[in-house]
Amino acid sequence: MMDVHETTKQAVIGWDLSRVVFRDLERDYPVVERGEGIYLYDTKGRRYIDGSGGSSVVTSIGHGNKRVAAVMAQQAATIAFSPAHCFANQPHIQLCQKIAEIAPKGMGHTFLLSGGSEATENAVKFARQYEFERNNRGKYTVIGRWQGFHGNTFGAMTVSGHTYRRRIYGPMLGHSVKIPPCYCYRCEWGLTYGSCNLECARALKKAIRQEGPENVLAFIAEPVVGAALGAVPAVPEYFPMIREICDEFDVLFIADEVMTGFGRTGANFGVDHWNVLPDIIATAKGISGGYTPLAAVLLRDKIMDLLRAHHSNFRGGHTYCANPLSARVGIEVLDIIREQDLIGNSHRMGLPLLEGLRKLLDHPTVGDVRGKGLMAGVEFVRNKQTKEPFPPEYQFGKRIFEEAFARGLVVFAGSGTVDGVAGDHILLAPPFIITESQVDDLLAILDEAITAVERSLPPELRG
Amino acid sequence: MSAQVFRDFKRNYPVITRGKGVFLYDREGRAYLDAVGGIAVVNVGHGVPEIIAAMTEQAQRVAFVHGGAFANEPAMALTEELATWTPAGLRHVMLLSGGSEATETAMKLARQYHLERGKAGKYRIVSRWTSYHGNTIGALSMSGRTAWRGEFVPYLQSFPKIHPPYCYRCPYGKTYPSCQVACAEDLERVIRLEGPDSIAAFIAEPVIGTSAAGVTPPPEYYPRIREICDRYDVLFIADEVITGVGRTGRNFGIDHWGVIPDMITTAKALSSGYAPLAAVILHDRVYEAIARGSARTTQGFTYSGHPLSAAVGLAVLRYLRAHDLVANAGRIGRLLLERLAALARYPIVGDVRGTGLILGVEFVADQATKRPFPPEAEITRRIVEAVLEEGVVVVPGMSGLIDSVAGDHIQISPPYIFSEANVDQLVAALDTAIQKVMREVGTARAGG
Ligand SMILES: Cc1ncc(COP(=O)(O)O)c(C=O)c1O
Ligand SMILES: Cc1ncc(COP(=O)(O)O)c(C=O)c1O
Repeated sequence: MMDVHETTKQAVIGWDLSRVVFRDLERDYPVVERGEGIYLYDTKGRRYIDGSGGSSVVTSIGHGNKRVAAVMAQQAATIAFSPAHCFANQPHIQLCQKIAEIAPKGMGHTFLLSGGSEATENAVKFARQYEFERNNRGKYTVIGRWQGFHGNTFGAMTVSGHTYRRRIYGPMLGHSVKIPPCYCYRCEWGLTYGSCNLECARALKKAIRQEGPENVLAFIAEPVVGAALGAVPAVPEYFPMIREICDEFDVLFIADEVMTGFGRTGANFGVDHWNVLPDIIATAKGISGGYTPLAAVLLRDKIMDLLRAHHSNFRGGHTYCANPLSARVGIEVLDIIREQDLIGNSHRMGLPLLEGLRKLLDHPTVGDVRGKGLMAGVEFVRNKQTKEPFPPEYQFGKRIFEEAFARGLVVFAGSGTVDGVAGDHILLAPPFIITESQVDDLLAILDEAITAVERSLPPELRG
Repeated sequence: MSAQVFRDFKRNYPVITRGKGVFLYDREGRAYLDAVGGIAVVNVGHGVPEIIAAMTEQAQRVAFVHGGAFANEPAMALTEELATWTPAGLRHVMLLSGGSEATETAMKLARQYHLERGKAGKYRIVSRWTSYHGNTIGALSMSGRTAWRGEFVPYLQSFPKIHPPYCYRCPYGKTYPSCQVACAEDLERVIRLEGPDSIAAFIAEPVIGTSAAGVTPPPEYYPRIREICDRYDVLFIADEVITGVGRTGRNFGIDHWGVIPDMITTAKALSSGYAPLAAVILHDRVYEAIARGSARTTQGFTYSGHPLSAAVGLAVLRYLRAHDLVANAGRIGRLLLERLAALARYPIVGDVRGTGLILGVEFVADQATKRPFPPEAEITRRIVEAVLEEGVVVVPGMSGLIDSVAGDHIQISPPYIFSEANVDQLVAALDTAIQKVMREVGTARAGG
C-alpha cells in the first residue's frame, strides 16, 4: 500500500480516496482525453463504451457534439455571465420556454440551477415557501424513501435514504421520515406484486398520519430509483396511489427526476409513465448532457400563481442560477434531442438493452434485471434462491466495474442495495444515440466481465 | 416570459444580449458599465477570446466524464496551477461547481477530519452574523443572514454565531484599537460556552461580501482567530467564494493577514463566470488526517472535476497571471476606495470600505448618529436604480444590514480589468444617483 501524502504531485483529490491508497493513481487511473458519440478515449488511445452516461447517468446526446461546442463558444463570446439581480437574458428565457413545452402539462414554470443537489434543495424550499404563504406554517417534514438519493448537500442528504453518504453526518442532518422503496425483488413486506395490496405506497399514508399531516410538507421520490438501487421502477399503480394519498393530506409530491428527466426512461419525464402530475420536479443531468453544469426546478402553475399573488419572492437560488452560457447549452441539447427523436430512441433502444440483460440471468450471480428506457440495472447475489447478497467487504459491484472497465466499458457500480450496506448492483445508462449493434457490444462486454468476476470468486463465496 | 421564474416576481428585467470587456449591452443596444462583475464573479471581463478558445477546445474533446471512473487533464492541470496560488500548505484541491457546494463540502470534511482523529463529538460550525456561506441547508445553517433563513429555520442546524468585525457599528460600542479586537475574543468565549468538544470549525469571509460589502477586519483579527482555533482544536475555514483568486488584490483575501487557514472555499473568480466552478482547498494536515485514516470521502457531486469547467478555470488563472490582473485589482481598488471616500461629503453617505475590488458604501439618515433610514424609504433600491439609469450596474447589499430590518448599502465588485476611466464613470454615476435620491427623499437638510 502506498502512502497517500507522498503523492503530493497529485493535487486532485477524488470523491473516493481509496483509489489513491489501493491503486497507483498515476499509472492505473486512465486519463480521459476525448469523447465521441458513445465512446470515450484515454490518453493511451484506448476506447471505452460510455455505458453509464459519463458514469453517472448524465450524457444524453453523446460526447464531442460539435454543435454544442459551437453554440457554447458563440454564447461565451456574446455573454457568458450577466448580473441576474437587474437583467434578464435571452437564453435563460428561451430555455424555460422550451422546458415548458416538454414538461408535464400544468408545470409551465422553471427555475434554473447548476446541480442536482441544488435542484432538490430548492425544490424543498419552493414547497416550504408555498405552504408558508398558504399559512400552513407547521408543514415542514419531508418524507423520503430508504435507498433514495437526492444529493450530497445537507438538505438533500437529510431527505435521502442513502446510508453510505449519510452515515457519518448523523448529528448534522435534519429531521426527516423515510418509508421503504417500491422494490418488488426485495419486498419489505415479503409480498408478491399482484397480491400485495401495494403496501409500499400505503406506507406513505401511515407515515403521514404518524407524523401528523399538519407537519408534513412533501413526499420526495425518484420515479425510477437510480444510484442507490440500480434502476428500479415503481409498479404501475404506485405513483397514482402516491398522488391520491398526497392529495388526501395536502402534501406536495416532489419528483426527483435528476436522472430520469429529459428522456432517460424513454418518456419526457419519468412520471409520464405513470401519468401522474407532481407538484414540483427537480431535474438536471440530461438537460445539458453534461456539457455544462445545469439543473432545473419545475413548478406546477398553482404554486407559481400563489407565490405571485402573495408577492413572495423566492428566497432560494445560487450564483449561477440564470447564467446565459449554461442556458444556451441546454437549449441546444434539447433541440438536438427533439430533432433526432432521441427520446424515442431511448425508448426503442431500451427494449433490446433490457432483453439482453435478461439473458444475463443465466449467470449464477445475476439476481435481478430491471429498468425503463435507457436506464437499466443488474443486481448481483451470492445465492439466487435465497437472494443472499455478497459480503460488503468483497465489493462485488466494484469488481464488476473494474472488469468491465478493463474491457472497455464504463458502468456505474453501487452498493447497499439490500439494507444500505450489503447488496451490489450496477447501473447502465448509455447515451440516447446508442445503436442496436452498440447495445450488443455493451452486453457482450458485460457478459464477459461478469464471467470473469464469477471465475475469480473464492470457493467460500460460490452460491 | 412567463415560463421563467425570476427571483423578484414584480420587477421588469431589461434583457442583456451581449458583453465585452467591462460593458454589457441590452436588447435596445444600451450600454452598461459592469461595476459588479456579474456578482463578484467576472474578473477577466466579458467575451475574452483566450477563455472562449480554451472552452471550445475542451468542449470538442470531452466536456464531461464523472470523477468515479476517469481522471481528466484539465482538472489535474487546474488543481496543480491553483496549488501555486494558495497560502503555504494548502495544496489539495477538490473541484466543484458552486459556492454552496464548496462550503457544504468544507463543513463535511471538517466533521470527517475530527472523526478520523477520534473526536466524534466535534461537528458544530461557528460562524458570524452578517455573513453568507450559501443557500443549501448546511451552508444556510452557517450563514448569518436572517432574511434568507426566514421560513427555512426549522431545517437549519442551530450552530453558534458570533458578531461580525464591523467597526463602523461596533457590536460592543467600542472603538478600534482600544477595543482590543473584542469581536475576535468573542470566538473564544463562545467556544468555551458551547463546549470545545462539540466545535469542529469556525468559518468566515476574510472580507465580508454582499452581507456588508467590503467590511475588512483590523490587522490583529485573523491572527487572533487563528490562535483561538488552534487552542481549541477548531479548524479555520476561510470562505473565499468572493475574495479568492485575486479580488482583494492578493491571491487570497486571507493573505492580507498572513494567516494560514485549514481550508479555503473559493468559486466565482475561479472561472470568471464562464462556467460554474468552485473549489475546496485543504491544508496538508487536514488531507493527511483523512488519508491516514479511512482514506475515503463521500464528498462530491455529479459535476465535481468537470473537464470543461476546469479548462475554463485554468485559462482564467493563466490569463490573470499573464496580465498581472491581481495587482491591478489592488491598484484600482485603492484608487476606487479613495474616490468613493470623497462621496462622504454627501450627508447620506455613512461609511465607505473595501479591500481591492470588493467595496461597499453604506447610507445613513444621519452621519453623526449613524441613524439608518427607515426600511420603507428603500434607499438601497433607489440608489441601485438611479445608478442603473446612469448606465452603471452595482448590486444592492443585503437589506437589513444592521439588524436584519434596517440598514442600506451597495456592493461594488468590478472586473479586475477596470481602468481609471471606468472608475471615473462609476463614481460620477454614483454621485449623480446620490444627489437624485437625496432630492427624492428630501434629505436636503445636509448633515441630517
Ligand atoms: C436522483 C438524484 N438526485 C440528485 C442527485 C444529485 O445531483 P448532483 O450530484 O448534481 O448534486 C443525483 C446524483 O446522482 C441523483 O441521482
Ligand atoms: C462568501 C460566499 N460563500 C458562498 C456563496 C454561495 O455560492 P453559490 O451562490 O455559488 O452557491 C456565496 C455566494 O454569493 C458567497 O458570497
